[in-house]
Amino acid sequence: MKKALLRRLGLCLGGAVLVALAFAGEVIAQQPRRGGTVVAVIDTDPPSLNVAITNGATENRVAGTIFSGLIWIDLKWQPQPYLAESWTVTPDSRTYTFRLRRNVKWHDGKPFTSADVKFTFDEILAKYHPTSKAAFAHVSSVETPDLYTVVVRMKEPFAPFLPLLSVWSAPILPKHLYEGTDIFKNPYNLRPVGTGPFKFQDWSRGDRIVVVRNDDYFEPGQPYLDKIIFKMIPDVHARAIALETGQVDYIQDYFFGKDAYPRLSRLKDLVFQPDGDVPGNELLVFNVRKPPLSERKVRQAIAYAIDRRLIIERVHAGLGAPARSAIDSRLSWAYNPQVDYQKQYAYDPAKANALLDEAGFPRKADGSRFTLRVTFDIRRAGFLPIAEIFRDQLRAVGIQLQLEGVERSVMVDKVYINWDFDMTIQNLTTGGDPAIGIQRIYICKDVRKAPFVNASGYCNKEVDDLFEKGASLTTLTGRAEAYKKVQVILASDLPSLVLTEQGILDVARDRVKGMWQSRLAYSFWSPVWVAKD
Amino acid sequence: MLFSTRASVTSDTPQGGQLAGAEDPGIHEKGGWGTDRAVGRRLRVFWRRFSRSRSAVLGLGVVFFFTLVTLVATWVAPHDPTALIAQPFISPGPRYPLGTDNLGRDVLSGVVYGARVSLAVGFLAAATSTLIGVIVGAISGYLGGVTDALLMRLTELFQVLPRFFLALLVVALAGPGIGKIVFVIAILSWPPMARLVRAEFLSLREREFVEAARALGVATPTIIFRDILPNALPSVIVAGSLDIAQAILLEAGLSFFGLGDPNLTSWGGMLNNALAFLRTAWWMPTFPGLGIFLTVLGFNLLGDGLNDALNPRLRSR
Amino acid sequence: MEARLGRYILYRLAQVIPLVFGVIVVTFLIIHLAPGDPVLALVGNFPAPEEYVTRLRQDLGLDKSLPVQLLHYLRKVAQGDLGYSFAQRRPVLNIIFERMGATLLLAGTAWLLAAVLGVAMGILSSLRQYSLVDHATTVAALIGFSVPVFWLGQLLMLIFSVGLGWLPPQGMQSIREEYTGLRYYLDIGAHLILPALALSTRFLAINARLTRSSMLDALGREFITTARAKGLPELRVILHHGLRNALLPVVTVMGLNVGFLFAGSALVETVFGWPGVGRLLFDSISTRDYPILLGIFVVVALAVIIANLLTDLAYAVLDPRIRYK
Repeated sequence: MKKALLRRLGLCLGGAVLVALAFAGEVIAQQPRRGGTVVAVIDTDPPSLNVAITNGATENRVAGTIFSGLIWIDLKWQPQPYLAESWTVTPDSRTYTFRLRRNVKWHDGKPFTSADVKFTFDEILAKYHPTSKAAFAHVSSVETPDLYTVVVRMKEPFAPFLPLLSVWSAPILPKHLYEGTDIFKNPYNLRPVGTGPFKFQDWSRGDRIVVVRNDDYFEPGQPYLDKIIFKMIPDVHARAIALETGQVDYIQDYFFGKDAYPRLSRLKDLVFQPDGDVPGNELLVFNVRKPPLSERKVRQAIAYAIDRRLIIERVHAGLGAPARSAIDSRLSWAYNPQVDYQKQYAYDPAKANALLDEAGFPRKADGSRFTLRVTFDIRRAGFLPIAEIFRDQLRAVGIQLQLEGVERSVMVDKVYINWDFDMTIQNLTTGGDPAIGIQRIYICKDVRKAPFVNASGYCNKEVDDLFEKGASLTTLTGRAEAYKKVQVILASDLPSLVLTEQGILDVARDRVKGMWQSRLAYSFWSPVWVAKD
Repeated sequence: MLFSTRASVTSDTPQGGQLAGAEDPGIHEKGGWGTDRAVGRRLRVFWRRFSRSRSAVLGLGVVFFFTLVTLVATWVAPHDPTALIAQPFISPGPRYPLGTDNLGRDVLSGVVYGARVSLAVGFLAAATSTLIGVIVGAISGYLGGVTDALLMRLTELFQVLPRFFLALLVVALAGPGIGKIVFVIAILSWPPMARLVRAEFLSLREREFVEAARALGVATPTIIFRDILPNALPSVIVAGSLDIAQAILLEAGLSFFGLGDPNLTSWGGMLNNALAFLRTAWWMPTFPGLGIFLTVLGFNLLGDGLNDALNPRLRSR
Repeated sequence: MEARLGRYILYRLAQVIPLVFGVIVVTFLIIHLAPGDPVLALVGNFPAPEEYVTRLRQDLGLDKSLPVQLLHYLRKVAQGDLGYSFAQRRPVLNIIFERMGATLLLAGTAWLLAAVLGVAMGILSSLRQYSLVDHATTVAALIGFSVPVFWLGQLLMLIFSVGLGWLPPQGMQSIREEYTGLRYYLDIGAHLILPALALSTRFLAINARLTRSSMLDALGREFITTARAKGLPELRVILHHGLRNALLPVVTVMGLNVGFLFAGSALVETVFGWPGVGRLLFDSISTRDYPILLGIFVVVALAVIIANLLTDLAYAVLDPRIRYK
């Protein structure tokens, strides 16, 4: 176990040396400079900045600069020390012991201690956080033997526990400001006090949120920036224009309308960075409760009838890739290379027609077989054109497609609460681990009337067992084996057809340096600096 | 829209209708557009007046053109507007006169079919709102008293409701669909028409021929619809034609917000789709925008022309 | 006269209450009867824990029956309280007022622009009927009246911001710099030009056309001829006798414009990223922020009612012949 840690440290050191070498030339030429402001784009006013009770995208992009987690995620998906300067895990993966940094202060000057961690884990994350609540269900106790030690005991092993402790899913809140208060109505939700590199300064509604350098940040010399302005630009196209006209410096993947990419990529002073975020997928979820989609052959026929490369080329400006399996191939340890939808379900309308005939849905006199509805969030960029491509391609195999583009809340109601849909286009994050973001779409337990779980109604004991194993086995190879098996079943059953491995792309002006050292780059601003104009 | 005709009757002022209750003996007579011969004569008078204005004829031409396009869309459009028929972003040329869009659909076909949606929504919504407005206004103006007071309060309520905001809200919450869009536009557009018709009725019901009919014991509905309404018709037609323009703009606005019916190709929807490509594919926003602009312009010119021809006293010389 | 005017104002004010009541009931029902759950709109893109959802539902008062919620809301509105925003957890009134400033600035500028320029163009072209100026005004007015405001806004932005780089394309203030004093206002002014221009075009066209036609109408009337015959100076004839009468319908329409300005501003605000009420509405629809939605309808309806009232009063001042009910 210690060996594992040492190996990890070694890897990390090796990586650091490589990175250092790679950038040596540039670093000598350009030392990080203190001072300056970066203007980053967000969409609109977030409900609050308390990211311990939500994982809304906008909240996270802003509050990730203010709060901290025990760890951060490096580019290789490995947890690295942050508020915890080191940790040990027992071989049975049931006890985690974290040693906390001692020089950390809250932005109001109070010291940060293990009590804050215990309070946040027990009282907030375990109760309310949308992502980590499930993880904390495996936790039996959180103990604080001293001010700078936290011991977490698990009821059963939960493999992705450590990576979940980043600021994305487990930000630590100040106990002294939250204890005994109504967490939902606490005024500090709107002017947060964290331990991160930046302090909250100002929030002008509908306009901007400003954070400024935390001079007491625990990493000496950092952060470099004086200030980050999160500018609200609700219109996605206006964001690209604001970048072009030099009004903003950085658009994070989530806020970046990729259809502007071909145009922006011709500009010289912009840099593009893939992989600055957790992989996500677009998928077509079938409602398997009723015919014709209850027929596996029909679902397979649809997979043959849709040319997923067209989605990448014409909707996503060539960014990302057609999906290959139920598990994103970018989660390389879990992906099964034997499964490849691009081969198994290569675009083939003739095959689709044959399968539909076989399934007992012959063409009627007018050439059509049956009509389906596709339900989607009309405001989600890309969903309408994807549905329009479906309409055209399914017509070719005799399926008439009705487009039902509705507001997100109506979509949630129809798809996830009332199961009133035939097919739906969804966009779901993997969460970085199949146990976090993927199994919820397939397992029986998640066939429930709640948003963003298993809406298809698909339930298969074998699939459940494999996902269960994948989440609880303690070795990576053991986990991978279970996940590889499950992909084979899902590739043939197709309760959902994963369409794309979404391209992740951040864009920034090239004066912004030092960004993208983490997989969650948007919450890792301490090493960022700006070159003099 | 709010030019001369309705300007005078929108506010709740006592002399509302003073201007609109036109007293042109050439058209307003007992029995309105009575016998066939009389109709023929009046139509000739009307056409002479109407055709005197070049802009009115131009407006009629534009409206006629787009209506024709709508009727023969299936034959005129080179392709199915929803079909991916070529590479994306082909600029206008001999093969695709208005180019192709981001998915490789033919823009010309989209513009042709888009005319259908715009005109259908325009006509249907304006017709429905006119119908509601005429009924409410006629009853209100003719009966007066408590009925009038109640109906006018209702009208006021609908008039102070922020129309576009409410349309946005309803369509967003209820989900898009052309029927819903028509309904929402109609239900939010009838108050000015109701006020206009009411004002006409207020002045017309005191006229001799109405009193004569009443004295003869003619039933109220007959008086309303056979005796008075035809005399109010010129104003209704003018306002209705301008309402079409408004409904087209409103539908385009809703579609621009991405709230149009995704199963139909509409100009507003094409504009919304073009937002991302304003700078790379100028033809994507230009032609649908031009379509909206020209159609609305056509109906406005037509409305003005009708106004000049039907209500000569209000003619803007 | 004074007393009558006073009574008339009172009479009109008394009508405001049932109107506002009606607006609330209608919008409340539309919002609450529509499909979709505001609580689910508030949770992120991940399955939310049930505790959280239940907790939220209670917090927001959405666990009660519809009539109870409506009564509760009406009672609060009667006390001048528009409730708390679901998403932002702050008083709705504060949120709307923060945004209303921006909308009023935009809509007010557009309104003024339309009033001053429109009336001026109308007078000018009525005085030189069939001249080049007249034809140009007529054509411009027709175009301005028919062009969709959002399309125009985009064209303006493309030409003057992206193309020529003269004016900022987005927002209300510079993002990077923090100006103070005069430069602060100049900065806002520069951001204001394009959206105000886009928004005003339609109303400018209406005002120009209407002024022109009613000026022509007024100038053709007997009292003008009489005034001219009396040898009064032409300017006095035009301004005092002509314009005063011609302005009546213009004033009415300008009062009515207020409601349409709000609608137009929703589109313009979206195109230019102007942080006003229209955008707040659009954002609040997707987050299902019921209290904000209701609040906007109440406030905007009130604004329209007040504008109508002022219009009628202006009418009274301009036309002393009016007798009040």
